Amino acid sequence: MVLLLYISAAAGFALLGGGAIGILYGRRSGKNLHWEDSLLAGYFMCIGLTEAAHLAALFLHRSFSDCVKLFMLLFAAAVAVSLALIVRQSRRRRVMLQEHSRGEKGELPWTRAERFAFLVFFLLVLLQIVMIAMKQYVQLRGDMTVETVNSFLSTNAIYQVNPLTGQPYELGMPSRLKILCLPTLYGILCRCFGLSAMQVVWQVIPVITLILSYLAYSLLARTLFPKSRLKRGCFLTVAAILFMVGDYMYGMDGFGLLHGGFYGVTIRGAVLLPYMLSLVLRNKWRLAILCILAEACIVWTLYGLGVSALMAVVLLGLKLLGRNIQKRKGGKEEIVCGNS
Amino acid sequence: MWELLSNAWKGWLEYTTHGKFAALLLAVLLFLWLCRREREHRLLVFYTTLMTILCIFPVSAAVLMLYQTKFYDYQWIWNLVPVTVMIAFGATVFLTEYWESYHKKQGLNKWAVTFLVLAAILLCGSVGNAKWEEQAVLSKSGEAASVVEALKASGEGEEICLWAPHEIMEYARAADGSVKLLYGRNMWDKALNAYSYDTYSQERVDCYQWMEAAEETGELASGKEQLSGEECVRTAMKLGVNRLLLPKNMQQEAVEQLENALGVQARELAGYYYFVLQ
Repeated sequence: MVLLLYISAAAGFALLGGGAIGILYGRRSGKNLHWEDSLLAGYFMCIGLTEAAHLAALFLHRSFSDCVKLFMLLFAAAVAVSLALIVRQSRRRRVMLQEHSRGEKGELPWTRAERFAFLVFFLLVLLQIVMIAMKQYVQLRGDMTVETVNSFLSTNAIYQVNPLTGQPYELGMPSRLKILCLPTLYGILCRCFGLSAMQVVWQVIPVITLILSYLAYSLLARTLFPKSRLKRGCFLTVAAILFMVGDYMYGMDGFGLLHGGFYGVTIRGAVLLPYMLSLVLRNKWRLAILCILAEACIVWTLYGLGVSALMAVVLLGLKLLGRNIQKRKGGKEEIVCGNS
Repeated sequence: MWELLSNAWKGWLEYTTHGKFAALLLAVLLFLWLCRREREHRLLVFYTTLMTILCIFPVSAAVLMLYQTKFYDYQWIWNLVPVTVMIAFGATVFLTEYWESYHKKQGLNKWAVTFLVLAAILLCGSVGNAKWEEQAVLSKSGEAASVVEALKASGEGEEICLWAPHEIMEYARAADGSVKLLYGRNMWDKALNAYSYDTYSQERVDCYQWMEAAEETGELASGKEQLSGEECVRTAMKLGVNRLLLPKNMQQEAVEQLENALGVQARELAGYYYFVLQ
């Protein structure tokens, strides 16, 4: 069942992401976008669909089963739309893929150093997956995700009882927390695949988060070192080592990925933010908006303005500033050239 | 405001105490700014430098802490700084440029420098100084799950409201969502109180304190000026508890005393003394 969940997740993300990119970028969808973008965009779409189902069930006071049904319905509709879009654009994509593969064939063959760098990287990722699957240490302080998922499943309702005691709420909980959708997503996975909350939250989701994080880093590697495969391999290997040795403190990327991959803040720090960085560096602002929305759905933010939004604004500001300075410099140079 | 500034400063000190990624980041930034002529990915370097400065200085850090909402501690503002990305970028640029600048004859130098960079990363990380050993909870959920399963089996479909020692209460709701508890993990893990407006009544707090003391002493008359063991159990029953587990180290005499007072025979369950209360 766990394997089926992973396969379904990969297929679902790829389909939804393909559709989302098709809608967002249309004819230009092949330009400077990669298969990692499709998977990550598909993940954000999944979060969006869960949020829609979660909010509908929460505000219309419907049961958790109704929420699951609504999610399935939305998911099926989104997959159908994505499939239609993908089929429509398939010819153009095929041509682009052929061009792309022709371009790749033109590249140099893999050197020994490149192979070595990527081999070390894949071994490190494998080791991390094994570490997560063994689940020696899970960071539970300050978190009640498993209890929340269990309370949804056992009461068939969303936030009707205090997840920590199972007793009805007396004063309730902050509404900003109530609207976050990750527990609902995990609950839906438990229902659909017949897995326990502990399995899904502590073992399955952290592996998915880890892989998504490496997809985001892979895109960053492509952006930072577009021409050197060795540098990309080296970058990914160093990032993997940093995750492993950087787990010394709560709040570090490595700590989140290895001991709490199910937290919203881990997904933000290890997936959304590196991806946002790669998007801004590639000028893919539409997908960046998807990133900002995803963060608002999974992490407590300042009225929806989270870290991704601030990062995007600061980067945009610096970009515009840089352009202005360059223009002025260009202007001055022109004047100097003209005078001489 | 003063409290926020103080938190920002203390947060920075704590952030740099356990690991040295901040130092590694500063070293990478210095390398990229001062040791190289090429200025590729200026935007990334500018952004990281700016956000690092903002996160270090207490006033700007306090503003960022306000922006991220008070729900989060200082270390979360460092999310704005792509620490891992920048260190990996700097290490890659340094290593690959070094490799390219040496010929095959000097292969030993290449390896030596690579291992030195690796050693620097390892020493700045969690090697021998992992804070998570104190923070992360060793997952003992297996024992709690088997105890909860046994409780459910003995209950024959009856709704269970449990009062048990700390280590069982910690995982009971994670193991089975249908089990109700006298108090939850937020009784000792205060950070969890941010998720709810509810607070515990003094009676529940007394019960928690008695159980904690009983785990240490193994006696019924545990706790200081709070309720006695028998009174605590009766209070718990009044609050709906129908299953009680007493600690493994409870003295036999104390268990018998409680059995006589309640008129209920205790059973052994995974080393705990198990009472079915009516």
